[in-house]
Amino acid sequence: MRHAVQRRRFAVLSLLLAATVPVSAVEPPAEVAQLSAVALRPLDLEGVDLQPGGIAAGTKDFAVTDTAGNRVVVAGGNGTVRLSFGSIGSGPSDLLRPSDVGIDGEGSYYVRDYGNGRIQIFTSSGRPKARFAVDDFFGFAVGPSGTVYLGRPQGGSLVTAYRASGEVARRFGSLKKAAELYPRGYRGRGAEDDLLLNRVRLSTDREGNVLAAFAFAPVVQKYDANGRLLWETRLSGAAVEQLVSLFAADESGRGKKFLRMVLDGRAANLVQASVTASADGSRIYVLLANHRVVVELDSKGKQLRTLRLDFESTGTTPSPMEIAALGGELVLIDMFGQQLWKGAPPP
Amino acid sequence: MEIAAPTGSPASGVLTPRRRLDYNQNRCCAIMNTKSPKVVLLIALVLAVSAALLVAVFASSYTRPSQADELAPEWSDLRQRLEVSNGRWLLVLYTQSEPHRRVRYLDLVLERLRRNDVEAAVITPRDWRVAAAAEGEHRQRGRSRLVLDDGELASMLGLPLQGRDSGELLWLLAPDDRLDLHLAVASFQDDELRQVLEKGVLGEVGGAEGTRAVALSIDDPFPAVRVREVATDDVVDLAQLTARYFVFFTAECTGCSLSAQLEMLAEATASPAAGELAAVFSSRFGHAEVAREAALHHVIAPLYVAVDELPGIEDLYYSKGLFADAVVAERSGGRVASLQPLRALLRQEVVR
Repeated sequence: MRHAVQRRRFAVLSLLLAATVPVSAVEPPAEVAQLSAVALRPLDLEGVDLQPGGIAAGTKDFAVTDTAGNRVVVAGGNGTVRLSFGSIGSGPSDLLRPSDVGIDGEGSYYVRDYGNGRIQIFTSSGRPKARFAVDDFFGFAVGPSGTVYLGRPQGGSLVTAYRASGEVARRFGSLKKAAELYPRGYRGRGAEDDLLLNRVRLSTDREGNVLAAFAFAPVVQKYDANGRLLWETRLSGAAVEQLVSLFAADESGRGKKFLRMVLDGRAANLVQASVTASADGSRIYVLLANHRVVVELDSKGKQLRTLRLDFESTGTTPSPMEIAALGGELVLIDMFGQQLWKGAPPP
Repeated sequence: MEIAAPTGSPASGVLTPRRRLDYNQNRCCAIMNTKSPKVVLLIALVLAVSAALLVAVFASSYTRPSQADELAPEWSDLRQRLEVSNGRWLLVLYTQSEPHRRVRYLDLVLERLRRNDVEAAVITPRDWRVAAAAEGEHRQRGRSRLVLDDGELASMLGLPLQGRDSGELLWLLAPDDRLDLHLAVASFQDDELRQVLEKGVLGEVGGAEGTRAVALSIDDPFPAVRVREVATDDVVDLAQLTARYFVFFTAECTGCSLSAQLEMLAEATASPAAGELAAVFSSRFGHAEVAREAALHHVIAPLYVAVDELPGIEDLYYSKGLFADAVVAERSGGRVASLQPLRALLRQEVVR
């Protein structure tokens, strides 16, 4: 029986495996250089050495998971560390390779405890509160009321909503076929695409609406807290079109591999890396993969502008993968440089 | 599978042939509708015996996962087998990959923890490759031990057998045989082993921070370490090498960025004037891995893999390089004359 238990644990861990691999650099189209820029500078957390995995903003602070340090660090916008909790292990307050993080309306922290295959919930002071086991998902967000949204197309819908007890509250979001996401250029691989193309990055706004950005297509959706689709928009612009063509060409076996997301037993060029809503909910920011570009939408899904991310020179080329909005600023994680950055979008 | 046992219970098996099946009636009604009291009694008796049997079979065969986790091996037997006395912390790591590197790293951690009541054992399935290498390892044996297992320990620990599953498991036993920590992942990072030991033994992760290493500075004595030449497998002192520039490669995680770094190295060594440059890789890199990648990228500089930690260049205890990038150190008069990132070197074309 112990063998069976161990095997089950291995199986869960292997299901959770998802990784991003930078393969080669692709220069963004020339138009990107002409865009308005967000000037980003490194955000130091009082010298705390961490390997940031996921980020979420609250009203005054933001939380970032330290994947290597097996903890969560909470800091203010100026980098002042307010709280740090968690350490390696599998007990109630322990974490093992934490990745995503979310904050509810009461300030509780929801952490994807990746290595232990569970969601851990901590109080606003970092004390363990509840936990539940989950299997494979990609896309994580927490609503103001504490509903946990996970991208789980294998459940038959884009998103599965969980109560803090781990009980499934609802499922929503219709799965899309390649022809819907790629009206031209990419015909799809049939059933092989069913999961991959429906992998979404998730976020919530202050009203509890859920934002879903398709990882492999330039499509963003907004649902209300009950799972009703409010709108869907397709991003446009030179940077978007280049990413779309790189994805489609690679899937057709002709294109260049650049920023690969390994999911569902496949590796594919990522299109949308992350999504977040501004603190007041009036703006939505979609971080595109590879190009260091953010697309700004209004709360109705209208594309307002595309912003170039200008990173203060550090001798490296950042690859931002996670984004959060704290106050009027954006905070980003450069996953490969293991660095936090922040800056305000121009008016 | 065991959980499903009640639904296919012997009770239904007894009833089915005797009664006229009416799927709209429940079992209770089927029994009550039977007219003969003897038949009712007989069925009741058979039901009772069946239920008792079912309970016995179920209890013996099904164990909830949480209970299974509590079914600890006989830790005292394990201690005896590993020759670790009671009253000492014991970290046991079961792995099927890189057992020697694990042993070296755990030795380093135990040394840095400065505690005499901690031991570590790396258990790995015996195969010819490990067995051959183990001889050399035992000759320079530190505090951690490498145990080649024929299956006895795996069985004692309730582990999957070799080849059936991959992954690593870790147990930290307190001196009183209390299981302090138990983790399973596909592959542990070195630094996670440090955190486990610090948390268990010192009660605080980062408890040994006072020992943090300091990065090399200009005018410091040049690192004196033993290195193994990739081409010949000879071990030499760095001081014996005649190169003026040394490119040091460290790694947060082995192999993650080696390919990109070697591309830069290949570019830096493309010119004939690059004869003054040698590349030294952290001991965290495997000898074969460096050779393979170097050939792939057509690196022509002499390549070495450090035998020990590179002082001032990396802090193996924390599994960290002390410089953000591969660093080029210039040696002059046995001291460090200059330090710069490899990519800066490429821009300035110092070597060329």
